[in-house]
Amino acid sequence: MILVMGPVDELVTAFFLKHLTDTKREYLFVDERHLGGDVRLELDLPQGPSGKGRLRGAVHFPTWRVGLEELTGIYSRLGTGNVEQRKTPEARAEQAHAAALLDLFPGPVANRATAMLSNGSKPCQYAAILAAGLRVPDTLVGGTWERWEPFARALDGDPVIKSVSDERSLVKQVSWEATRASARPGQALAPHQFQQRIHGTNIRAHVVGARHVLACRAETQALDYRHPDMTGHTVSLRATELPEPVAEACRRLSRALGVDLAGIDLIEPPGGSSRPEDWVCLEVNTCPGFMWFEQNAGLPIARVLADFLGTPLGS
Amino acid sequence: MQTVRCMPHLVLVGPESFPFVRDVLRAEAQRTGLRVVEVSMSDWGTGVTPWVEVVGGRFRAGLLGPWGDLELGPEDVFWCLAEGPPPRAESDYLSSEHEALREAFHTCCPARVINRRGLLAPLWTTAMWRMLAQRLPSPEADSVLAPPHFHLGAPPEDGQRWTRWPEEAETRMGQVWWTVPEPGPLRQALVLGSHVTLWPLEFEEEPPTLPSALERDLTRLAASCGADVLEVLLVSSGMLDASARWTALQLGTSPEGLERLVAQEDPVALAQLERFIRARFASKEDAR
Repeated sequence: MILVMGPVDELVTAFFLKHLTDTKREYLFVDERHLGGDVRLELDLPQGPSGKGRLRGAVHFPTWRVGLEELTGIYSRLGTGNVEQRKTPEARAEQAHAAALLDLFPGPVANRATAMLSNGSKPCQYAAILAAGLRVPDTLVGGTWERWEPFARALDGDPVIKSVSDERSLVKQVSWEATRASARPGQALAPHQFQQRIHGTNIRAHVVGARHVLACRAETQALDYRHPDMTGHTVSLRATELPEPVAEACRRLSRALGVDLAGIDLIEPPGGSSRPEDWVCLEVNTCPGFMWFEQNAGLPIARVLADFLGTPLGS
Repeated sequence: MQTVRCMPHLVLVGPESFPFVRDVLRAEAQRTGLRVVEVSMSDWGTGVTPWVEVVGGRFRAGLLGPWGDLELGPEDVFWCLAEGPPPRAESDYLSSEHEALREAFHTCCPARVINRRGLLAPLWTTAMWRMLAQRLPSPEADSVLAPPHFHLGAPPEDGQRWTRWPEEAETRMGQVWWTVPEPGPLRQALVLGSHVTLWPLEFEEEPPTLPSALERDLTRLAASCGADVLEVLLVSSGMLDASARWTALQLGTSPEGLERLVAQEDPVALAQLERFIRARFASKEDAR
């Protein structure tokens, strides 16, 4: 049985629940608004050998309970959908218990609470991306104008500016002159991320269980394909196969970050290449809203994810 | 702005909380020919700010401070002994950006870092009780070190003495309880690199001896957590002989126990710290 946690009216949560219902999968759903109200979690971790069976407990509802041993995997969309979190001590306690369950559950979890944190700082992910064999864009975060100027002058064209954190930001190019005008000599620049604009085709690769790679091309003239309409462009998504060495690098990266569902943003070099070191990885989304890609590119992400989460541990 | 570069540096953040350890670090740095740069917790993020660059897949990082722009490389040593949250910025967005830059610096700085922090470092992203629950016991059959029995939710009415886990990160909100059957005397282990020492925290007639199996498990634990310096609070269960089993009750990444021992001029602790620091200063390891 798959445990799904999240807001029932959040788009990706609802999409995955509909898939589970349509395909007659066995699942248990917890709306996060009910944590600390009608739903509470009990976890027990006795001393003993590590491995399956050590974590015990249950999801408790007012009149029934489901033991953790009945669960095969967990899909979490907790914290998404701009749901106003209940602030009662009971609700906060259960939210903390849910995060602990995600980290400690011995079966597959998409995704564990701590594994999702790497997305909070893009350069942190770059260390893992480079280790996986992919390229990252030339990037500068912080520093002074005196450091920014030679960095920017060495780039091919004006640099792109985006958030260094996981805060949503519209990616845009900034001119040398505009940055010069806002810089104060000797003072640190605002801590945004400046980087080389990478030419090529945007590819989003969803990796499930560090094994299954489902990729699509985003064909657009927009700088940020996620928001093409904001610049008057359109985007077309089309399923594609990654060269096997690149797919393998994506698996390595997912494994290194410990995420069972990753949305990896890549740029394929013009003319293509099967060498991972020619492909640039912009970031790894650790809570990917895969619905848009599934609906527009026909990728069976929900099915592959459900298969992965529904397989009993050890089988 | 002037770029500083003349000799290798030892950069310490938050050393004012550990004055005795700091004195040892200063003396060893002087002996080795490292220039010491100290950044107080209050200056970290205000008067001193980090930067990170990656060009052609190679990381560079440094600090902007009153001295100018100090780039840190593999010849330098960096140890953030203590830090608070970044100072509040004019918006939540900018606060997140400052925090993300700090995490980037910790993760990517190419200096030889002691106790590397950042979002890829489990000890700084996971509540300590969960670290214990996840990392212990190690899967090897000969493991003698275990976590306590943990319980989340209302404490069980099973006749055992359950204690609430001290407040930290998210346990401020959750109900985390622990218990240990038949605990022996409380001890503290100091893991510095590959060297471990064991210290009593209650009166004991004889100083405790460190069983080799426990030493092996503690170094395994520190390695699996990515820690160079780790303080472990622990108790034994059963007979205090080679067959003893041990329970780790808490992990500490700040050298508080070490500071106390060095303040008492304990020669064993002092020698352990000096040996560790000399090895780190001599190491050619390049983490990033």
